[in-house]
This record gives sequence, structure tokens and C-alpha cells, in this order.
Amino acid sequence: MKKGTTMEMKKGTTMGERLTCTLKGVAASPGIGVGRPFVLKRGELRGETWSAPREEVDGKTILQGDVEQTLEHWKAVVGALQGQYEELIREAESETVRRVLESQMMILQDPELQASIERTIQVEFLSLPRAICREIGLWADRWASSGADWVEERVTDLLSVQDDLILMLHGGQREYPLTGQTILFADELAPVEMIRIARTSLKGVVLQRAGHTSHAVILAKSLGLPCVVGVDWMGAEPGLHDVALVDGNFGEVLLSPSGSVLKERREKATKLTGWEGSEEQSTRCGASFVLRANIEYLMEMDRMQHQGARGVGLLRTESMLMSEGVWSLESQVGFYRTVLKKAGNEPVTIRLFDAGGDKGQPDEVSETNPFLGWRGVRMLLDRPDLLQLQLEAILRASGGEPGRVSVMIPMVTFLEEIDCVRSVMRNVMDDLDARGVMFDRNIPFGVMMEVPALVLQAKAVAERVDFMSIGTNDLIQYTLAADRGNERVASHFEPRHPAVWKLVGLLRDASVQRGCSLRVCGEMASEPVYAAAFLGFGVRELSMGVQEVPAVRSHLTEVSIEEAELLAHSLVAADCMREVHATFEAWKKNYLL
Amino acid sequence: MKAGLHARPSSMLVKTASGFVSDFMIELQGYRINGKSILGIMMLAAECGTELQLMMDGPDEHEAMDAVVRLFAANFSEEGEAQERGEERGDEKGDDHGDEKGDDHG
Repeated sequence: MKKGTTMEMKKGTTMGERLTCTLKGVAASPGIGVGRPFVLKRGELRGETWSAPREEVDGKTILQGDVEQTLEHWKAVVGALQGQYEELIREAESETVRRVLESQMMILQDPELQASIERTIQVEFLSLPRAICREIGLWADRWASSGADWVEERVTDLLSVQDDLILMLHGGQREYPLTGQTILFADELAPVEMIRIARTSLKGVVLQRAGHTSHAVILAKSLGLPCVVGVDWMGAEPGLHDVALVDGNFGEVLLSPSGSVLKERREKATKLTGWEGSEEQSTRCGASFVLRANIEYLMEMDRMQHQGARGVGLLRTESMLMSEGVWSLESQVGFYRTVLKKAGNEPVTIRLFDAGGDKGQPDEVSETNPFLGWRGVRMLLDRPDLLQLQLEAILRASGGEPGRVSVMIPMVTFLEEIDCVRSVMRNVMDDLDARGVMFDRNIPFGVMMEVPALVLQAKAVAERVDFMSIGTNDLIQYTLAADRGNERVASHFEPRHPAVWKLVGLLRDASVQRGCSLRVCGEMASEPVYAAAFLGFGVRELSMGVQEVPAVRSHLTEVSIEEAELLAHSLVAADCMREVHATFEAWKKNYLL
Repeated sequence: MKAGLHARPSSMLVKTASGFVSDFMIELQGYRINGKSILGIMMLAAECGTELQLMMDGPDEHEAMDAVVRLFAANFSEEGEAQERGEERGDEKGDDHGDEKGDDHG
């Protein structure tokens, strides 16, 4: 990692303000975070719950008669820590977080490590803390001298397992005295520490060591935390400052930035991504629209309010079909309840398991053409156990707050598939009734419109469901017969193709005539110009990645419905790409996009 | 060996080998380590092009060796892992996330 950090001192702009101090480092995870500095020193951290570790560890042996008891104690400690790690894994905010935690678990369960610690206790009669520290220390030394950067960077992970074990011996979990928005300053940071702290109110991370491939940096990126590494911050004593700003875009850390600098950087950040207000989401002409978030992991929800996303328009649930097996009923209900809680009072649309295509299969299935294969509702109707389990979990979660949960079926081709899922849901409802379980009897029931065959029958669909949500990626690839993952036909995967707009036109007609809500939850919703076109097709609810919301909102607030309808009209009337292209160019020019 | 045995492949190797009863040893230039131990494998810090000797010993040694060899053959790709897991246990889902890729896919 690059060193050679420079420090420059500038005088603050206001009298009596602490001197502003700018520290330079290497940008590791983008974004800007502002908060109160908190300095985490390894020694101090240990000191909180484990005083004078070295003295205790050195020179302690046990009596031969205590060997059995010590071994039992060791097993109990490992078991308890394993439990803690499992809990952290269960709450993993992303796939990356889960993998990092699993690698910590792998160290803890390592057969060689277990054997060497047990041997040390049995043969050398070392006390448990001493055996742990010596054996893990030996491995750490070997890793540190392996000569490979990527191995040396993992020494932190190894030592953090040691710290966690010792802490567990003393019967505890680490407490972090963090209050309010915090910027963390550390020498280096162990992954488990990082995740635990990130679950408080962390806004940014400054590290002295840690390379770009260290787990701390990988996690910061995954958790959306601004992070700067290679910062020689100790001399600057960040703990004495009230405010720190981490600029993960330019690799800078500002201590006690002046009011104007803070304002300037914040404005810049807000312009890039942020949303500070609670203004109505409405067009220039006053028509209201709603932008919701596409969510897979809980951590993504933390940014929803900041970005101005209201509720969840698409909750992906495929990650519940885990390598360890399908989530239990309780875990599923728990997950949905947490999502509902995090969404405030806004609605949440849960898409039934959409395994298949590029998203993996619950069973080992090898298909030559998975996108045209056994996926979505096709798989669910063949696996009634999965479908019933998920519907029961969704219904149970809907009980507390009727009207907030909706169910959405993926990959429907035949109208009968809708009827089948509905009848399974009725059976589950009867069963819940018989057992006296509360649920939302009128739970909104909708379908993903992603297969052209279903779009061509939009009117019949609209009579059967409460809402239709356009899944644009699949609708485009099925309509244009172009695999969206195949680079050779990348130019054939053309969202603006006139046929796509003609299908959207059919959906609008069906939606208006049958009074069925039309929504979009696909990638096209996140492109401001397309979002404006969808407004013209009568769509008032769009769902997209949380980070896309500000740009879409910003454009939609400046258009009028009348203009959007004209845009939609031209798109449906277009026959060739040239016309579509000209229509969008004129629109962009008009709005200076 | 095509890919270096870096962190992710290392843990995939341990995960796969640990699914079998047989002992699994890896030898590198006369140095032998337990292939079910992440601590040992990381210590090898095996880079691209290193020659490793794999040894299995136990009741399911053939199946175990097949599984491990497939991992190497697939260059520790995600598909390799998905297949691996699919074959080991019936009800598993393939994994479509890269280690350091973003988690959001529209």
C-alpha cells in the first residue's frame, strides 16, 4: 500500500475554530461521509474488556488434572464463538459480507488449529488463553512471512479470531461506545469488527494500513461506506476534533473542516447521490408519482430514506434458497418483517422465488437454454413445497400490517399459472384460518410482465390481478430474441426497439380499461428518459436500484404529464430505430440532458 | 495450476475437501499440509504455475479426488463451485455473485 502521506495545516475560517487539517491517503471506497471522529486502537480495544492481556498470557500453565476440564472449556468457547459468527452471518447485508464472515468461521473451525491448541494443552499444559495466543501467533507469523501480499493482508483476520476467542473466554461481546454519526479511525480493522461497527451508525472509515484487497476495504465497498486507507492519522489526533469528513472519491480526510468547506463538499455529495428533503414526488404539473427501491439485502435499505426511495417495489427473495438449504418458515417471516419495519409505513412488494436463468437453481439443473427454461413460476408450480412455504411466510408477515405487503409472480406465460398460484394461496389461507393465524385477506396480488405472450393477453391478465409490473430486462430479451448476457448480440439488446414500446402501449390500454395498476420494476425505470416515457404510458410507480432514485426523481419533477404522453404517443407510432432515436434526442435537447 | 491458489479458491478447496471423510494432503516442494486447513493452504501462498501434489486417503478418496480435481479444472470458477455443490447436495442454489462485485443487479 502506498505510504508517503502528507499533512497540511490550514487556518480555519472562523475565530476560535480548531485548525483544519487535511490528511491524504488512498481512496478505497467511494462516497463522502461526515461524522464525529472515533479512534479505535487495538490495545485500547482489548483493554476495555480484557486488561493486561500479555501478563495474563505469559507464564501460565495448568495442572495435569485440569487438562480434561480445560479441553472442555476450549470446546465450549469455540462453540459459543461459532454461534456468534453464525448470528452475524444470518444477518449478512450482502453476499460479500456473508463470504467474509464465512472465511472467519473457516479459521475458527480449522482442523489444524484445533488440533494444535488441544495438543498444547495436553502435552505442554498451557493455560487456555496462552495456548490460543501462542498457536494463533505461530500461524500469524507464518502467514506474515509467506512473501505474498494477499496472505499477509489476512493476518488481521487471523488475529481477530484470536481476539474474539480471548474475549469469549472472558464471557463477552465487544461493545463499541459509538453514538451518533461516526467516522472511524483505526490502524487496521478486522472484518468482524468492521461489520459489528457498521451496524451502528458508521459514516466512514479511515485506516492507516490495509490494502485494497483487505477484507476491511472489500466490506466498506459492499456496505457503501466511504473509506480512505494508507492515512498516517495518528499525529493529527483526530480524537480531539469534533468533525471529520472522509472523501472516498479523492482519498482525503478533513479534520474540523470549516463550515463553508463542509457545506461545499456536502452539496457536491448531495448532487452526486443524495436526497435531504422530504418533498412530494410530483411532476411539474403536479401529478404525483412514487419511486420505490429494488432490494435484495437488508443493508441496501439503509440508504432508501437518504435517496428518497419510498417503499420496496421489488423484493428479491432468491437469496433464501441458500447453499445450506432453503430458509425455514421462521427465518423467512423474520426477514419480511424486518423489511417491513425498515420500509417505515410504505408498501413492500415481494416477488416469489425467481430462481433460474442467470440466477441459479435450487436443484442441480443443467439446461442448454436456462432463460427459456425452468425458472420463476414454472419451477414454483413444480415445487409446491417451496411455493407453499413462501406464501405462508408472506401471509404471516402481512398479518400485522394489512395493505402493506403485495405478492408478485415471476415469469408467467399462461393465464392458468396465475390461477394455480392463486389457488395454492387460497389453500394456504384456509389452513392459516383453521389455525387462527392473522394475515391480510386482501393481500394485493400481481404479476411480472416479462414474457411477450403474457403482454399480448394483457386485458385478460388485468382482470385477474391487482397490478402488473414490467420486468424490462427479460421483456426486452424475450421480445428481441437477444441474450442480454451475450456480448456479440449486445447491440440487438435494444431497450428502445419500437416493438418494446408497442408492448408497453398494450399494457397501458389494458391497465386503463380494466382499472389495473401498471408499474415498472426493471432496469429501464432507472434511466430518466425512459422513466419519463413510462409516465406517459400511465405508470405512476417505478422501482429501481436505490442509487438510481435521485437522478430519476430529478428528471420526473421537471416534466409534465402532457409532454410525457406526447412522448409515449410518438414512441408507439414509431416503426424504425431512427424515429425512436429522433424522438428521444428531441426530448433530451428540450430538457438539456 | 492455472490460477494462483488465492483466498477465494483456497476457501473453496477447503469447503469441498471438508465435505468428504478422506484425509486430504497437499504437497508443495516437499512441504506437506492438510488440505482441509485454510491456515495451511494460505501458508503455501501458491502462485500461478505452481505444481502441487494432491493426495487423498480414506473410504471416499475417489469421489473426493474427483471433486477437487474438478475445482482445479474449472479454474475455481463460480460455475465450478455451483456444479460442485449441486452434485454434493440435492437442494442447493448456484451462486451468481462474484466476490468483490456489487450486489445489486437489475
